[in-house]
Formats: sequence, structure tokens, C-alpha cells
Amino acid sequence: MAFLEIDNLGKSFDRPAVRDISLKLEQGRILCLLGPSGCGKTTLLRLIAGLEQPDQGKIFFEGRDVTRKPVHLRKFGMMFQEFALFPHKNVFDNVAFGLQMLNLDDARVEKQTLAMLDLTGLTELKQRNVAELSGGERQRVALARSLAPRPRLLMLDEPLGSLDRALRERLLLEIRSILKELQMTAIFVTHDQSEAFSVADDIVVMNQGQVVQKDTPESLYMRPESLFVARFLGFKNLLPGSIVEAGGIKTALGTLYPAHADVAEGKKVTLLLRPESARLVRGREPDVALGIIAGRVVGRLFIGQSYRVRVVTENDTELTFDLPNLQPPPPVGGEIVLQINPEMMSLIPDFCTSRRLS
Amino acid sequence: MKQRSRYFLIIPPLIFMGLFYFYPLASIFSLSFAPQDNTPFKGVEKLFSSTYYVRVLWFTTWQAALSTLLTLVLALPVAFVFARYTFRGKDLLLSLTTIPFVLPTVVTAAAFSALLGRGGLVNTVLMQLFGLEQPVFRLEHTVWFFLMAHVFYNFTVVLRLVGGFWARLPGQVHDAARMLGATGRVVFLRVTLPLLAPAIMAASLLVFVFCFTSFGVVLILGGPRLATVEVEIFRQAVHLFNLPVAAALSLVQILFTFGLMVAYTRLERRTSVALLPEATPKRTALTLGPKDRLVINTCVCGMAVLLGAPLLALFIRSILTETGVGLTYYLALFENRAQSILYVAPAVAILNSIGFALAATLIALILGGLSSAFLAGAKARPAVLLDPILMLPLSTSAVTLGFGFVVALDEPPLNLRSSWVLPAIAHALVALPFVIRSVLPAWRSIPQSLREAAVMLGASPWRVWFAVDWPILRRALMVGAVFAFAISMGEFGATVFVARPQTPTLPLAIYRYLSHPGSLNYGQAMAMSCLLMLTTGIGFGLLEKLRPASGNF
Repeated sequence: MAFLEIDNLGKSFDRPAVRDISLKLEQGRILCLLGPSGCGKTTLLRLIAGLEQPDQGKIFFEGRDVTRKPVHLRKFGMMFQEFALFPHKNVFDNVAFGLQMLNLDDARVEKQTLAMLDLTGLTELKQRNVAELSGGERQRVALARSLAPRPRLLMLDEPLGSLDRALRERLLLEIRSILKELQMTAIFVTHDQSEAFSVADDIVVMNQGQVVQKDTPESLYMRPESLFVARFLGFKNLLPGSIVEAGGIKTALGTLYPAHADVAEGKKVTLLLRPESARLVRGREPDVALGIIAGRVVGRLFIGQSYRVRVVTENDTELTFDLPNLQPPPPVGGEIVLQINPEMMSLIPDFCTSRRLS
Repeated sequence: MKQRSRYFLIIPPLIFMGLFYFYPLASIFSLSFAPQDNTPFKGVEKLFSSTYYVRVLWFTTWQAALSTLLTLVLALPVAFVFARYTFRGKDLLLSLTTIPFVLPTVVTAAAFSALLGRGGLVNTVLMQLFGLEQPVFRLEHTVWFFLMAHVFYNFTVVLRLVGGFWARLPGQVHDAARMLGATGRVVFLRVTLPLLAPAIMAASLLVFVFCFTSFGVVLILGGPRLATVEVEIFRQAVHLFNLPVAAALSLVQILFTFGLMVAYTRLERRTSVALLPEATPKRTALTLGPKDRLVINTCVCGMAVLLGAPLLALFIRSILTETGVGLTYYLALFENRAQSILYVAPAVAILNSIGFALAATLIALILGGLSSAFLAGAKARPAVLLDPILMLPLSTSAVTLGFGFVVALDEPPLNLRSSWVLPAIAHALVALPFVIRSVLPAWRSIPQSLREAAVMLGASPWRVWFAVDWPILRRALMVGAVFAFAISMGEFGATVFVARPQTPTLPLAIYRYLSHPGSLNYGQAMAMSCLLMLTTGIGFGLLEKLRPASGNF
């Protein structure tokens, strides 16, 4: 029996927002719903919370059907986009609200609120008005408020969307460590893959109201199962091809041999060359079968930890790689020879029809 | 523009305010404290030596409080419906509720008299249906008559202020409370209500001020025995010519309303600031169940009866002559009957009104435009200081202003008593705050970067003004102009003092017709009220189109 089980859930507004979604979540894990805006991830979250009623399907929590259970009785917590702090209450009263709803006596409310403020590093701000807080402080109040009544399941709806990048990265780690410290089961919604990678135990990628892939962050990155996921993760080197012989894939570049290719011969697939898969080589003849390709540099960008290089190969295919900054690549217009690591090539069962040419 | 040359902009408005606001007010002050018949402080002393004036003040206060309470009770549920539901015709309905608010008080009075007066529509119908000798509702000369009128025109204040604020409450805050275990009732009591409190308080204060300074409806519907402070000032000054007492009453009035307006401004600032950090809420369209439909329909029908019936009655009474339905009363407006005791033809009053309104609009626009130009670019300190000063006419009752004009401007050095411009100046003074409030936000909304972008693209200062500022200001100036025009057309309290007998305005003529016996006089009052209602209606219909949708005043 799963901790949280979603069975065939569906919800339409003007058009379908969530379609036939089934999911399981084990206790103590952090699940991330990842997808572009409008993919239905927030709706799914609100359905689980009980803020929306599903048109079809059921939600089971610890084996019991909670589909029709009113929001305030579910004992779930939610951290909202823009935080939704009570503007008329100070930090302490915001955090204490959920505990007061449990009808605890004042002393216990105070004790637990103070403990939560301590955990989130807000003790000194407890008398502040929420309008006087900075973005990061607000985020912490929102987290403390949602955690204070010890929800059985915590939901986070793009909780960092409105903050700047540096702050976001710091807070992500903080959120994850606090959630893990409390052994909280959580569902985290975001459209930002790097956010999802750093906070989640499992990632569910959604598109058009449906789940397209559920995996750990590592597997998702290494083995995207569809073109949609690959493109959403930002991969650009997607080569349409077909299996020709044992482990060989015929593409516009020639026949390449990825490390793991166990697909039936003749099948049309897409080959993904991850951006970090290439190394600059000197003094070797191009040999596609060995993963050594030649081309001309058409773009060259120094981004700190690596060089981002755009290369057009002899057969007019454009590829983008992040090369280690060990040795600078040739200037724009120069010839370049690259070796691609077969371990970092992935096969996607989808067939890519749109070929990007230079 | 340099800061120093900027100050030239504010000089004309300040001179105007000094001459026509502070000088008359100072005259009232000195008059109420002036010694007379060898007793110092004659006016103030008289005021407190008799319980009569204390009773007037008490009556004014409790009728205003009761009016406010009634308005809240009726308008808050509607505000809830408007904030919560989206339904067809909602925007139109909201626009229509503005009509009673902007309607000249004289027209409101005429409308209620047409609906529920002795010879009003309801009584006439009931008497004929049941063959009664006496009218069923005898509200004339009772406080209930004008209380209803107060509810009628203040309804939209509560609806717009509270409803607008309610709709902008972030829906996520409610969801958050529910997620934390609050039931619907607890959410309302501990989250919604505390958040709404400043808006409700602000609306209540505003309504209270309006009812406290209510003049036209009390004068016409209250009869000779009921008097608020405003009506008493008018009677003492015009009927009894007891200027020191009128001045002392004005003083009390000024202090009272000024205090209330200060409180209101404070609250208003709180209502606009408290929610800023939150994003605008995303409203998911609710699917309407049968229960929701019932709630909406009840609300709409209730509003139709409360707000629509008096206006409809006014229209019906204006075309219902003794010989049946016809335009007799309208046609009579344009005939100068020799036997008429009124020595000015109604058509002339219409022309007077339009003339005054055009002049007042022009004055208010020029001064309001200059003031806004100054305030928009001024440093924080002068703006904070001068902005409230320019808003002062808003918190001063029209009767006090009119009375001040009479006291101050009828003798040298400034004798304008017989001048035709006096009503126009009074109207411009009343309209000035509205023009500034319409233009200033638009002017401030123009980002400096827009002007800088234009300059960087090679535009001369004049071209910048024409290409960037003017298109945005044009709309706001139009809004201000409509406000000024409509205010001038309907102004009654100040006009009753300052208009010369031979140049009455439309509201003045209506008042005269209403206070004279005879069905033709009554019918003509109804017909003129209808014309005035139409003018204001068209004016503010235009305004709704010009103004970007917002829940604010």
C-alpha cells in the first residue's frame, strides 16, 4: 500500500487540465511535478490538496479514499506560489495559525511555533509585519507556516518562482534539508528542471495534463524516454536515425555506436548526444564509427566552467557541445575535430522529424 | 523641468484656493467669533446657549450613523456577490449603480418624492387599487424619507470600495487558511473580515461624511421641522439672516468633516498598501450551481428595486399628466407663461446651467492640470504638503463654501456678489479635487524611462511632451472634464447661495418648482429632473468608457 495513491484522476476547466493520471508516492520521499506552464501540474497539486474537486478518479491516502474529504480535514500542508502570507498578521501569528486550528492550548501553540521559527531561522523576525520582509524571509515564513501543524503531506507550488536565481539556489538546499530533517513527504511543483533536480527524490514530467515520464533525477537526465522530455530538459543534439546492425544507428553524421542500444533492427529512433559528451582531439582522422567527427566552428561562447561551441559538420548538421575549459577550442570559422563518448549517447524511442540544419 | 521653475505652475491654483477657499473660510471664522451688540463671540455663544443647536447636531449625527448602518447592511451582501461571482451583465450593473451616486441631490429628492411621496406613484396605485381615501405611506417630513435617499445614493460607495477590495483579496490566502485546517466560517471570521476591515471602515466613514453633510435631500424631503447642520446653516443665513449663528454652525461643520476626512485618508492609504506585495489573484471561474444562481438573482432583483424604482418613478411621473400620458410638462418647460410666479423661463435655467458648467469645467481643467503637473514632478515634501491642501474643498461642505462666498465676496476688496461668474467659480472649486484625482495618477503613471527613450531617439522636449505625455493625459483630462461638467450641472448646496435670482441653474429651478404647489409645477420639476438625470447619465456613461476599469474612486 502506497502512502499516497492517485488513481486515474481527471479534471477539466474549459479544456482538460489533468487527464487520467495515476501515481504513487512512498512515505518520506520528495516528488517533483515538472513541466511547462499550463501542463496541469498545479491543477494536479490542487486536486490532491482538495482545493479542486476532480471530475473523475480517486485519491487514496494511507489506503483510505480521501477524494471527497474537505480541505481542512485532510491535514495536508501547502506552500503557495507568491507565498500567500496573511497580510494582517505578523510572522509569529502567521506560523501559529495552523496550530491554532488544531485547537491546541495557547502554551503549546506558542512552544511549537517558536520551535518552528527556530528551525527556519526566523526567531528574530517573529514580531515583524509580513509586508516588511524580504523575498527570502517571506519564503521561510511560508515554509514555517505550512510545516508548523506537522502536515502528513506537504505540497509546494512553485515556491521559489518569484525569487532571484542566487537566492533560489541557496533556499532550495535549505528546503530540502529541512524536509529531510523532518522526514516530510512532499510534492514539489516547478517548471525549472534545475530546481527539480536539486530538490527531488523522484521527478514526474508532465505535458498536456498527462504524465510523460517518472524517474529519479539521474535516470531522467541520462535516459529521457521521449523527445518532449529531451527538449524540455534543454537537449539540442537530437539526431533522427534508424538501427542498422548490432548496436549501430544510422544518422545524418554516419553510423554511430552508442554504449547501450538494445532496440530491434530497422526501428526509427532519435539519438541524443549530450552536450558534455564531446572532447577536443588533435591529430586524429575523423572516424564516425569511433565517435570522432569533424566540422567547422560557427559559434564559440566562454561560459566559465566550459566553452559552449556550435559546430556544423561536413554533412550540414549543427551540434552544440560544452567543452572543458582545459584547452581553448579553435576560433569561429576554424576546423575542429571532436570525440564523442559513446557512454553519453542516449537512444530515444521517439523519432525526430524536424531536423535542424544550418 | 527645473524644480524652481516648476513652482510657477502651482501659483495660479494656490491664488485661486487662497481667494476662493481660504479667504471665505477665514471670513466665516471671524464672523462667528466677531463681537456683536456689545457681546464678544456672539455666534458661538448663541450656538451653545440654546439646546436647539445641540439637538440639530445630535440629529445630524444619528441620522448619518443610521444611514451608514442601513447602507452597509444592504450593500455588503451585494459586495460579496460581486466579489465572488462572475455573471453576465455584472460590469454593466456595476456601472449603473454609479448613476444614483452622481445624480444631483435635487433629482434624487424628486425621484423619491415621485415614488413614495404623498402623490407618488406607489401611493397613487395603492389608493386606486383599494379605493383608499388616504395615502398608505406618509413618509413626507419623516426622517425615513431621506434615510432611504441616503441609502440610494451611497449604495455604490460601499459596493465599489468594499466589493473592489474584496475581489482583489488574494484567493491564495483563503486557500492557505483552508489548507491549515480552517473551516469556511473560520476563514471568513479570521482572514476575510480582518482583511476587509479597513475597506469597510473607509467606506463607512465616507458614507457617514456624505450623510452628515447631506443638504438637498434633507431640505426637500425632510420638510420644515427636520434639519441637519447643513440645512440649519442655510435657514439661518438665507431665511433668518442670522449670519453669526450660521457662521458658527459652519465652523462646527468644518471641524467635524475635516476630522473625518483625515481619518478616511489614513484608512484609504492602509487599504491600498496592505496588499501590494501579493500578486493579483487568479480567479478560476466558478461553475454556478442552482443555489449560486438564486443568490445572484436575488441580489440583482433587490438592487433593481432599490436603485431602479425611484428613477423609473421619476420618469413615469414626468410623462404622466392629469390628462394621461403626454409630454405636457416637458413642453411647458419651454413656454414662458405670463402668469408664472417664477420670473425665469425653465429653458433659460438649462442654458444657465450649461454655461456655468462649461466655464467651471474650463477653470477646473486649467487649474487641475497645472496642479497635477506640479505634483507629478514635485519632490516628495512639497507634494505631500500641497496635495492635501488642494483636496480641501472635497472635505468642506458645499453649503459652507457657498455661505463663505456670500460672507466674503460681497464687499470690497472683492465684490463678486452680483457677478455671473460666482457660481462657475464655486463649481470649479468643488470640481478641482476630482480633476486632480483623475489627472495626477495618469501623469504619475508615465514612466520616466519612456520620456528618456523618446529623448534618446532624438525628440525635442516639445515633441516628447506631445508624443509621450499628451496621449496618456488626454484621456485623464477628458475624465476630469466630464467630472467637472457633471458636478457643476448638479451642484446645489453652494449654488443656492451664490446664484443670482435672475440666473438660476437647473437644480435651483427644480427646487423652486418642487416647493411651489400645483400639479404643473410638480410635473415640470419631474420633467427637468429627468433632463438633468439624462445629462448626468450620458456624462458618466462616457466616463465609464474613458476610465480604465478599477474599483476605486
